[in-house]
Amino acid sequence: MTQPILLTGAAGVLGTWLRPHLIARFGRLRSTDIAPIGPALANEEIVPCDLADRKAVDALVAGARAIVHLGGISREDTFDRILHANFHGTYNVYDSARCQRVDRIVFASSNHAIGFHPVGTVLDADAPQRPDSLYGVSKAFGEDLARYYVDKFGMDIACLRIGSALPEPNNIRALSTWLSYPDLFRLIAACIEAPHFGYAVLYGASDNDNLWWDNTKMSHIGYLPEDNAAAWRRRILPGADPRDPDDPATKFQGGMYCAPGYMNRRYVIVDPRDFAKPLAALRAKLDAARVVLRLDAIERGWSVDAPLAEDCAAGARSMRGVTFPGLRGTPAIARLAAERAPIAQNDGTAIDPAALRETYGVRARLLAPVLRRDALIGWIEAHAAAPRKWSDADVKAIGAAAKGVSEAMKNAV
Amino acid sequence: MAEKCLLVTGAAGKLGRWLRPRLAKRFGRLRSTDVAAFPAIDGDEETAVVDLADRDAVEKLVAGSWGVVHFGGISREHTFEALMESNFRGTYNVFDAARRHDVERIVFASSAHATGYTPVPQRIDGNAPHRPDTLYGVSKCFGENLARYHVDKFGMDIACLRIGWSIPAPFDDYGRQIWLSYPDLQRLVEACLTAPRFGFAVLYGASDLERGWWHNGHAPSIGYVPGDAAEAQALRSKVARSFGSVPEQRWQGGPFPAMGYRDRSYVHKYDPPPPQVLALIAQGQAEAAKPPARKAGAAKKAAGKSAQPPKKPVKKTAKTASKR
Repeated sequence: MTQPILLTGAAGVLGTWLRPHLIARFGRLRSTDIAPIGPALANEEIVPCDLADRKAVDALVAGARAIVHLGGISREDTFDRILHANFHGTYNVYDSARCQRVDRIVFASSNHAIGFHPVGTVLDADAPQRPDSLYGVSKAFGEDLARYYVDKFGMDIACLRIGSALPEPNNIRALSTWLSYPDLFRLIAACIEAPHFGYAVLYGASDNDNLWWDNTKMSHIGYLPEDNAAAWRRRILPGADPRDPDDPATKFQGGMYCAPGYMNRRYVIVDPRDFAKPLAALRAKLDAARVVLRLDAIERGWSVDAPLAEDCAAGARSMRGVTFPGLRGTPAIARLAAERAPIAQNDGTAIDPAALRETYGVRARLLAPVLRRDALIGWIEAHAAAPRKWSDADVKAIGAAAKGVSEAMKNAV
Repeated sequence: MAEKCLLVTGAAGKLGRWLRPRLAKRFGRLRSTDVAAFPAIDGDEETAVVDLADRDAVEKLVAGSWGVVHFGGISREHTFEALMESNFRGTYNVFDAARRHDVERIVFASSAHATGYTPVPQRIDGNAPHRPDTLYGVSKCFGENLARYHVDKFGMDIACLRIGWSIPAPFDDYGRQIWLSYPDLQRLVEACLTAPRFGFAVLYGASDLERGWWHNGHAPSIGYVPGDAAEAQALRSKVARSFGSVPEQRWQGGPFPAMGYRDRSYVHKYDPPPPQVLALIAQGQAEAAKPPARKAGAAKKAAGKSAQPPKKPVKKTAKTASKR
C-alpha cells in the first residue's frame, strides 16, 4: 500500500490548493489542520489536530512517507500564540518524525525569516537569517531546528523561504517575490522526490525577472520554476516606481512586515481578543443588536472587509468570518474617511451593501472612525434591528470607544 | 530621578555569582534576579526571585534599568517543553520589556552550542551560520535571531556571546580550546556594556582567540581583548590531539553533538554534568562566594583595561592538572 504524504495546515489557502495535486502525484494524502478542512477527496484521510499536542501528532505522523509542514500561524501575531502554534507545533512534527523514522520533511519557512536584508542584495542558501517579525523569528527557528535534526539524526529537511504565493502578483514587490501555485507544487514535489540531500534552504519564488534570490546552491534538489511575474509588470508598474525609497516597506525584502513599529520602541502587537471586552461594554451601553470592529493591517492579514472583533446580542446573527469585499468604497465609509467623525444612520435607506439590510436585518447604523495619523484605518459600527434615532449620548459613547481603539493602534502599526 | 541600575538575570548561576560583585564595582547599582533563591552580595544590589516566563514580573524588573546582562535560563540540554518556558519565553520577555522601557543595551549569553556542529578544524567568527548541536543550542539560536529582530526593527544594541566553556580552569585538550576564563568573561561582558553603539553583535566567548577555533575579527569595535589567552595556549598539551576519531571530537560542540548522534530513539532530557565538572563548578562557586580584597583589586585592574591577567587562575589550573 502506498504510504501517504502528511500535509499540515491543509485548511489554509495553499494547503487547500495543494491537496488534489499532492494526491494526483503521490497517491495518498493525510491532511490535517486545527481549522475544519471540509469533505475528504478520494484517497485522502482528514485528521483534525492541534500540532502542539504531541500525542495527536504522533498518531498523525505514524506511517507517513513524507511530511509537508505548512501548519502554524502564517502572519504576525502575539508571541504567546506563535510560541504555541509555530514553535511547539514545529518541534512536535520534527521530533515525532524522527522517532517514527519519517525521513523527509518539507517545511514552509518564509521570506520573513530574511526580511531585513535590504532590497538589492541577492541572497542564496547561505544568507544569514534576519527576521522582520515575531512570525519571521518563528520561521528562522524552524530552520535552525531543521538543521539540528539533519545534523544529529540524518534526516532530510528542506526549508522553503516562500515569497508571495498568490494566484497572480498583486503589487510591485510581488514582481520580485511572486511564487505561482503551480511553481509551489513543483518546488514541494521536487523536495519530496529528490535523492538524500540532508539540509536544504530554498527560496520559494517563480522564475521572475526581478528576483532577489538565488537557488543555484540548491540545484541538486531539481526545482525548475516555469512562471514569471514579468507578465504582469505592465499592469502593476506602468510607469516609474511611485514608492518612497526610504519607507521600510520598500527598503527591505520583507516589505510590509518591516514597517509596523519600525524604530518605534513602544510598538505593541495588538491581539484582536483584547477588543472583545470594550466592544461588549459598548454594545450594552448602546443596547445595539451588534457591534463590529473592522481594521486594516495588511501584514497581519486584517482587512476592513471582515470583522476583526464583534459582539452580538442574543439572537442576532454573527458576522464573524463573513467578508464584504469593497466595503471601503461605500458612500458611508467614504464620508467617514472625509469627515473623521461619527455618522448616525437612523433608518435603513442609506445602509450599504444591501446584504447588511437583507441578511443581517440592519435597520439603523452608527459608525465611528478609527484613525492613525489622521488616516482612516478602520471603524466601529453598531447595528440596530429597527429604525432608531441615535442619541447624542450614543454618538459620544461610540466615538469614545473608537478613540480607545485608535489609541491602542497608535503604537501598533 | 533614582539612579538606573544594571539588571543581571541568572544571578544564582556560577557565572552570575562570579560576575555580580565585579559588575557592581564597575557599574554601581545592580538588580539581580534568578528563579532560585540566592544571597545578595555586599554592595549596592537589590535581589528578586523571579521566573522569567512571568511577563509582568519581568516588566517590573526591567523598568528603571539601563542595561541587561541576560544569563538566565536553562544552561544545559533539557526537554523542549522546559526550554520553551525558560529560554524561549523568558528571553522574549526580557528583550520585549527592554524595548518598551528604552533599555540601552543587552548582553545575551548565547552559547557556542549554537554552532556546535561546525567541524573541528574550522576557524570561525560570529558570522558563522547556526548549526545547533542540541535543543539547548537551538534555544540559543532563537535568542540570537530574536536579538537581530530587535536590533533591525527597533534599533537596540544587543551583543550575543557564544560562550565556550567558562570554568575556573580547563582540564583537557577540548576544554583548553573553548575555555573562557572567569576574568575574561568579565572583560567580555564589560566590553559589551561600555562599547560605543554597535547594533547587533555576535562574539565568541573564549580566552584563546589567537589560536583557538574562534576569533572575533569581525567585531573589533567591541574591544574585547582576552587576558588569559597565553595561559590557555601554555596549557595545551604539546602533542596535538588527533581530533575526529570519535564523535565527541569531531565537532566543536564536543560531547553535545555526540549525545544521541544518529540514534532515532534518543530522548531529550536533562543530562547532569559529569562529577569532574561538578567539582570544578563547586570550586568556582566557593571562589565567587568569598569577597576578598585581592579579588576586588583584580577586578579594578581589569576595569582599568589592564592587559595584565590576574595570576590566580594559573595556580588553580596547575593544581587541578596535577590532581589528574
